[in-house]
Amino acid sequence: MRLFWQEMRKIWRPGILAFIVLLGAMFYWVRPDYYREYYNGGLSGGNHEIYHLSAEWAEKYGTTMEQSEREELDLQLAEEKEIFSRMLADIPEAADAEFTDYEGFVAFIEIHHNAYRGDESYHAGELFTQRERLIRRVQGGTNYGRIEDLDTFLFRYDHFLESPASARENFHTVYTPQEQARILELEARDQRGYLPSGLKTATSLYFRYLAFWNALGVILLLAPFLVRDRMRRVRSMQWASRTGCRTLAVQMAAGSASALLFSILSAAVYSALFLVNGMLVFKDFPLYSPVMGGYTWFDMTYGQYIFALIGLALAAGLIAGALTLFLSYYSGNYVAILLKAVPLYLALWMTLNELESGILFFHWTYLLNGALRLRWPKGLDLALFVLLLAAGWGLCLWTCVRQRRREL
Amino acid sequence: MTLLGYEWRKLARMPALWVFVALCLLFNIFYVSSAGYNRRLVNETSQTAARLGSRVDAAFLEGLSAMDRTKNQDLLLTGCRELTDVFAFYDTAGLTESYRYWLGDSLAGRWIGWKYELLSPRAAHLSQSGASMDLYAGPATANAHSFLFGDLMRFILGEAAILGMLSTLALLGHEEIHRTTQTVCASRTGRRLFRWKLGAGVAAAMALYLAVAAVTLGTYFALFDYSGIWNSSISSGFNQLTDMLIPRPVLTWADFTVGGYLAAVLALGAVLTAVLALLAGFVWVVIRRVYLAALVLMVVCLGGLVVPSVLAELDMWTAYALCTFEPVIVLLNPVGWFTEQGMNAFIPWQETAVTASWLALLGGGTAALLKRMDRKDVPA
Repeated sequence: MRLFWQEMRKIWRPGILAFIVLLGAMFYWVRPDYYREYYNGGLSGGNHEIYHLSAEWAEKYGTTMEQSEREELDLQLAEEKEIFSRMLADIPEAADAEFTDYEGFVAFIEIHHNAYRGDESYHAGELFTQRERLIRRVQGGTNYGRIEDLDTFLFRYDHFLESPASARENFHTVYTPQEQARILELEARDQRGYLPSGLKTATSLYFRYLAFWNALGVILLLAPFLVRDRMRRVRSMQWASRTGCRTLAVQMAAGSASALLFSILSAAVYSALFLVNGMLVFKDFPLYSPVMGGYTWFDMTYGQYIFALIGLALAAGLIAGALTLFLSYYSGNYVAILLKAVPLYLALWMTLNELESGILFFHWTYLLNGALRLRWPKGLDLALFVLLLAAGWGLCLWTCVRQRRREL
Repeated sequence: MTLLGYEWRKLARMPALWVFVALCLLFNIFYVSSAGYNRRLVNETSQTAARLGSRVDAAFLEGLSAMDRTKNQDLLLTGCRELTDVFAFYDTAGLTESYRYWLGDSLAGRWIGWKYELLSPRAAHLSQSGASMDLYAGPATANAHSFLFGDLMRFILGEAAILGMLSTLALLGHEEIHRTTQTVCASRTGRRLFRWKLGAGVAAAMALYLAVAAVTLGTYFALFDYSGIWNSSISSGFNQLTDMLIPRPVLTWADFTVGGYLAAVLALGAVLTAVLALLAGFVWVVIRRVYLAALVLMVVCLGGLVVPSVLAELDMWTAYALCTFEPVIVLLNPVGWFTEQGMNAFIPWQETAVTASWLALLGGGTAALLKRMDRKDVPA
């Protein structure tokens, strides 16, 4: 164990770690932060309001929306429209433009857009600017977004009831037999979940970036580890004793443990930042939400989905760790390992992006510029994760076995 | 020269370097071959231009109408009939107005206003020269231009930057890696070796850039026939650039044909690669540790992207404008080089000015640091 901790100390060097943390902060700002902020009330728009509406309904109706509960939403829509009319009264330009309620405002937008499409001089004129300004003012100063999202939700709910996927003409051509069986199973259950689809997308993308970061951070942490021993010519010294002969195995174990520890720490930070947004309201929601679309292969809740994505991000860190250790062992200096680390990261980035895109849901990949559509059967993406991890650890094991047989 | 040869031999004996170059080329070739969707249109347009000339006028339209009808020829004919002089009465004040929406009355807003004022005579000149009525790649122009000068050049530059920086670090850090620094620094000649190393690193960076560019562009031009359109102006009415969701014609600071523009972009790319190799040299001389220097370079490069975005979010537009004067921003936007570049540039020819000033700054700075290193004790 003493050897293990000594190797751990060789990996966790404060200088390198400080730069990795700095890089991590910048990486977070560039991408994942957007998906966190999108549901933090920072941005207005459709997805933002449906998130608030769903959170309110969760308290009132629970995690599914039954028919009787849906009918109450008609009343809510009428109330929201009344509130809109009252708020509109505070905007005098609205009355000048001859609309005093929600329907009038929608008609006004339609007239404006039709004029915009047909006439370029209208686009360049003062009237266009005035109307654009007024539309933005009304949209920003009223509950317009809330009504729009509620309306869309009701339309989707009714549409789902009227035409479930299995009743559509193209059901047998669009879906594989395995997918058809799953759809029929889900429809038979008649569980009307309503987890916002934008939330699923944002969650998936946010934790995909965690996987990308884990891969990058682990590569940077472990890249110099085994190279250093080779550069300092300590490998021959290690072989001088029986304990020393086992060093490489211990180093591989310390490297994998460090990859896991690094990934856990990153996951803790990412999860904490994500969950403070109030996401826990949705933790018991079924992931399969017929109203908002997307079929899942497994029965799980949104909370379990987050755990699954974190698990995949940890696996990404471990895969990156195993492959980096392997490459690091066969590199003669820092530049050599960095030249290998760059393509390794890009290859992992592309693979993880493909594997995690739509993972646990029905999804497909387009190949040859979209000419070929490859459907992912149930569990293949997860199996590939396991295979990659096994390949990484297999290479490390092979290196250890090979080293024992080698003459120094 | 012998020393330079020895240094290059060190690089040549690094298998990882050649594997990396091979992977870059494989990726680029794969990427080029994936752009086949408008290949036929570009090639047919080029062949048409070779027969009828690259200026769309009455004779050209007449000749085109008389040619055999294919789907692409129909598309080209429709496009050419609709082609108008986009620079006639083009008012750059519209762009100033759009950017002022974000920049307000800040110093950056005034700079951008000044830049577009200077561009106004250029728009009039381009209209007079009829550049807008040049064919370029016809209806495929905007896609082909952004693929070649945007995506492909960005990949080539990115790969060359990584190769250049790591090659320079490999050479400068060679003595540290092999623990021969003390032996080398025992003599005055030995200490001067680091200058040779830096020179060898910069030269290798440029050579690798040219090699990657030659193979990648060779593959591109083997698939895409540009023989008839080399003399077309890149400011063709078919071409356009977009910044901050605002599409605009290609307003260049000088007249560029496709061939001339490619040569200019390649030349500036070579200098930019040298700048980034010098940056690696500068960082190594300050830190004197290869791996840490590589991490610092990563932070500097990513920081070059993050800091302007943070400043923009904080509405600190003058600081944002100053941040655009750095090589990473230049490297990421080759499609905008020698044009007005929207929010990525605040003075005319900014990419050229930035590259030239960083070359002088880093060259001088690294030379001064190396001179200082001559008088310093070697750390144990």
